[in-house]
Amino acid sequence: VTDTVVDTVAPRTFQNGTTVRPARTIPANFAAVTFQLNCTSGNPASPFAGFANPFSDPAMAITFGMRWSWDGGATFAMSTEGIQHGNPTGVWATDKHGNPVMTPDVRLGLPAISDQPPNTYRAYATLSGGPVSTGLTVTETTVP
Amino acid sequence: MAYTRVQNSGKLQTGSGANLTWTPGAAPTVGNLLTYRTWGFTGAGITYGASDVTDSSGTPKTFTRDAFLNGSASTGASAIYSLVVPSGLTTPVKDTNTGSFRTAIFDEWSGNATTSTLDNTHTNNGAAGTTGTTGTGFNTGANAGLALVSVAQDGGNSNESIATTGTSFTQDVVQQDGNVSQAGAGDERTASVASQTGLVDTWTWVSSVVYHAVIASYNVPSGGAAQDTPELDGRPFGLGGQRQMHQLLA
Repeated sequence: VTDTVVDTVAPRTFQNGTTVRPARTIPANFAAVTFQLNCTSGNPASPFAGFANPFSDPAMAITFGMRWSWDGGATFAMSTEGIQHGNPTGVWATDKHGNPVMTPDVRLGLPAISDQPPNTYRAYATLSGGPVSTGLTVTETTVP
Repeated sequence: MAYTRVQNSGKLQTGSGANLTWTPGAAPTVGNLLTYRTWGFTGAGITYGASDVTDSSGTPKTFTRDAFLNGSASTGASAIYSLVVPSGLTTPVKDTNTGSFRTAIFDEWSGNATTSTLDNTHTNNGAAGTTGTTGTGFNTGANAGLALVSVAQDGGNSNESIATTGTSFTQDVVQQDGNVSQAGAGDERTASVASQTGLVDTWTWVSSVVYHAVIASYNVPSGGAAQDTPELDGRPFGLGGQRQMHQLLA
């Protein structure tokens, strides 16, 4: 299994709206693509409360994932994604050891239409209830 | 008539409790069957709610939770949901659960019964071991054409990944553990013959685990599973009637 970071956006303040990353051709032996938000930069890592930004506002939501194309990127017919809402306690999730995490992620495999996989994808994120500060990382996983 | 997969979401997985959503490539056809298989883990114990999976409208169309096993603290959980596509369905379709580590897949199927769609279900809460099954044998009814499985292994702090999966079943999606996620699998089996008996899906784990397995079967239209449907120009023709004639006329 090989994980390759293929796209990064350094932490910055995102306003409400949609950010679309460049289209990428799906590589051979593609297994999944992971989209991670790196929200700890510029924010206290603990105790995850009292943020100046809306991470603790339930009205804040970040939809982030992939749009998939079957025609080389001319159109993107399908999308798969996650939605991360703000939490009143400022805690979004914990890792397997019980530690809070501020790196929301989705890991997406290939969808299909009539058993045909797409050939191109692009990452996107839509923010409402912002602004928030975060970075973005897209990682492709291939399996020989 | 047999089940055919129209489209699917591929793997949806989160390690942060994100809602998981899918916008199909084409609007799901009214009367087709949408299914959602999921498994997961969260430290406080994950619960798959009866209304977790919906469409996007303000008055959502809600999937039915057909089979599930919820977990207590530090154990996995698994569930299968379904919805016969109603008119007015809006996308994306969503799993609104916020359990930390969840993996899932949405599918759209054709060839299903539109009433009395669910055939049979079974759950198996397996004890610790290096293998697991859906049970000693799962029997479908006379018109079942599809069996779906979702299995989650225990959520302990070690690598408890799946080594092999899906005896007599097709593995649609799998997630390994690696001590950072939740191992499990979503398997399926389609059949053009009626009344399958003694179905068992099995897995082998990397290390000894407890697990939660659920299985559900779904019907084709009454009498449809036993029919040997003739084809005309590669398209079904004959008994089963209106839908097939509609296809020919389309």
